[in-house]
Amino acid sequence: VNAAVALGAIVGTFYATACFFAGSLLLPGPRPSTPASLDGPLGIVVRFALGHLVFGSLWTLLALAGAFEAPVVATICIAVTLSGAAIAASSITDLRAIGNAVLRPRRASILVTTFAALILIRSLYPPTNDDALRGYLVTSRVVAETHRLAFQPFNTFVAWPLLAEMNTAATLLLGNETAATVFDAWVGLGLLAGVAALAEGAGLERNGVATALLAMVSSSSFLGLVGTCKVDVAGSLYGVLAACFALKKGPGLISGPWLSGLFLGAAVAVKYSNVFLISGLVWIIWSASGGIPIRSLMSMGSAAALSLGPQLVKNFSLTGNPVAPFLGDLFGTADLYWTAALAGDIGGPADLSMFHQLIWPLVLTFGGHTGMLGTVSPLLLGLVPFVMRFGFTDPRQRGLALAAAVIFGAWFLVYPWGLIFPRFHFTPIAFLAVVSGAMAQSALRLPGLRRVVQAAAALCLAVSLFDLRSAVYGLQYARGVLSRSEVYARHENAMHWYAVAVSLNRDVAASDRVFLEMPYSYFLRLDLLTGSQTAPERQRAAESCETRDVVIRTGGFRWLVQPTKEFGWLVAPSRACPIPAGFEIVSQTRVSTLSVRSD
Amino acid sequence: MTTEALKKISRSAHASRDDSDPNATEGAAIVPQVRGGSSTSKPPTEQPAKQNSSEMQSRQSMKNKSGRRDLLWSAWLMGVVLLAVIQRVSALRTPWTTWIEQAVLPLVRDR
Repeated sequence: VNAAVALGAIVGTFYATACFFAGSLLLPGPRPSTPASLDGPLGIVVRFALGHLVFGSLWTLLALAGAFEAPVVATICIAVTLSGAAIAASSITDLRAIGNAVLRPRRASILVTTFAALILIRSLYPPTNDDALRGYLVTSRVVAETHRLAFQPFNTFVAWPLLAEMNTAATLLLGNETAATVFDAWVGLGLLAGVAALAEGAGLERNGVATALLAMVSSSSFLGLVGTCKVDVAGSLYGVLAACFALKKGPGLISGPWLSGLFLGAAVAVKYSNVFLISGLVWIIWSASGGIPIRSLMSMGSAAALSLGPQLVKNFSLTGNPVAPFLGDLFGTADLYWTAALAGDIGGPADLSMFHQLIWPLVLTFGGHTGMLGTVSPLLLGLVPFVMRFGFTDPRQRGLALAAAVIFGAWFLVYPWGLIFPRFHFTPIAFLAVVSGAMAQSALRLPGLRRVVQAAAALCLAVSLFDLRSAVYGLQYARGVLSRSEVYARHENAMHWYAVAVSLNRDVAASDRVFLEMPYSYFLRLDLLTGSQTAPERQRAAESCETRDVVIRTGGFRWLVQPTKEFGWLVAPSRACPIPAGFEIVSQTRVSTLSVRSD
Repeated sequence: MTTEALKKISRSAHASRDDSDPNATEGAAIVPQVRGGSSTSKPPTEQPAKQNSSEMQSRQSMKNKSGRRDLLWSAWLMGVVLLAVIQRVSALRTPWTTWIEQAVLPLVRDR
């Protein structure tokens, strides 16, 4: 067995436990100021998510202060775990209650355990998601290895909100990349528990809850991202919890709207695109109260500001623009190279036609657009229209369905191209999964429909289990049968850049500077990254080929990595520039040219 | 029929609707009986046979209509799911045998 992988799995699981106990310290158990129904799956997952939020925010501020050191982080995690474990006795009782409720039927017990085990085993495999290797993991790795959060000129992703990345950084600091992927798998399982809680909160019975969960796990877009360190899953965990509390009414400071706002702010602190959730959550609260709930909205807003605050501070500290890369004109960051690069990142795909927008639910279910990274479950398209047959048995289900519609409507108005990427919409998809569960529940009561719904569910279950077959590769990697280089050698997109990185890591002397314009910089040595172009050098080099050559000459760069292919967020004029005078080509791949100064 | 009995039947009709909309037709079938009945009305057995037959026909017709409607819904659900499954399976890059050879066998066979 690969010892590093085993250690990573232990550290990732320990960190997930620490998150849960941190949340337990904040919400020790039922009390007058907490909503009465903070038990069952919701009780577990809300504590885990609260810990994730508190740790992520704390690490952000610690890293900004340059104090993100392993002893500090480890001490905090261990102290929180020990004290939380003592206080969380009521939560442990909750856990037992969930075990009894969920696992009592033997079939359900086997299924839940099998899915969780396969997801966790699969996460032992090294990270292979393109965006994670290009940006998210680069941010986390550099923070973990430099022990501080500073602007990273080589990585524009650092300008995005970093709540999830800072948790990943903590797992990298305490363990290794396996710890990061295993912890991310726990976050994915947390999201599934959140969907179960949402379904229960919307009045679904066991069959309905199971169908809602099946609708999530049979969405290849969701299952494919769990355990990859791409932040969308963590953002949706918060989004789903925000909806859980938007459905609740409770007295006191920590009321439903307040916790809903807290998790909404956290969702935005993970990914800005979650800002669209505001429309749906406000709709839920508004429709439940029957008027304009000013007090609830104010409570929600203040809590959202609290959880989003550390990320705004981070961006202001790093870039001078708290909401970078947006409002660049207002904060004077509009003309900077990374703003242009991130604008490229959020630009839409060229091939989304009006026709595809019109048949959008079909595109989400069957489509294969570039960058979709999977589809959504056919159970959604198959069961949600049953609303016309059965209607809603609970107003909360209607609220969720309409909230999903409002969120998708907001996307359509602002960024219609974003509609075809399922990962942007895991939260409203979870709402629709709950609606599917409700419809399945109604259909299962009819003899004429029961068998068909059961057959459809069985097929989706089989497909989901089949999708998890890659757990075999995770096991192979853990056993040392599969090496890291073999993993990336078979990675269709990263393989060429992995080869370039291996070559640079091996050949470049510590004193040499590399002019880097390459994605997948996760694979590079830290000193190569930090020694590459500074922000002013990148700014100047982005102007033209001539200025780039001046920067290379005056900056004393010995190596040059030049892409031969366009990358959305990478403003790389050198793609079209000739090799500078005095440099000779060392190697060429389909996507890059590596050259070295000939002196 | 007493007021208490009426309330009981009415509650059972509502509960039946709440449990699932599909049973709403059955609930609706109970309600006319309640509305038509009272402590002074004649027992149902004394109603004309013609009316019973008409009610049965009407109920049978509704059942047939509901059955046809459910058939359409079944076809929709299975169509969508089967299409997705076929698409997922056909998108596999390697045939089953190769997959088993590449992914499963190395597990039990060290290099």
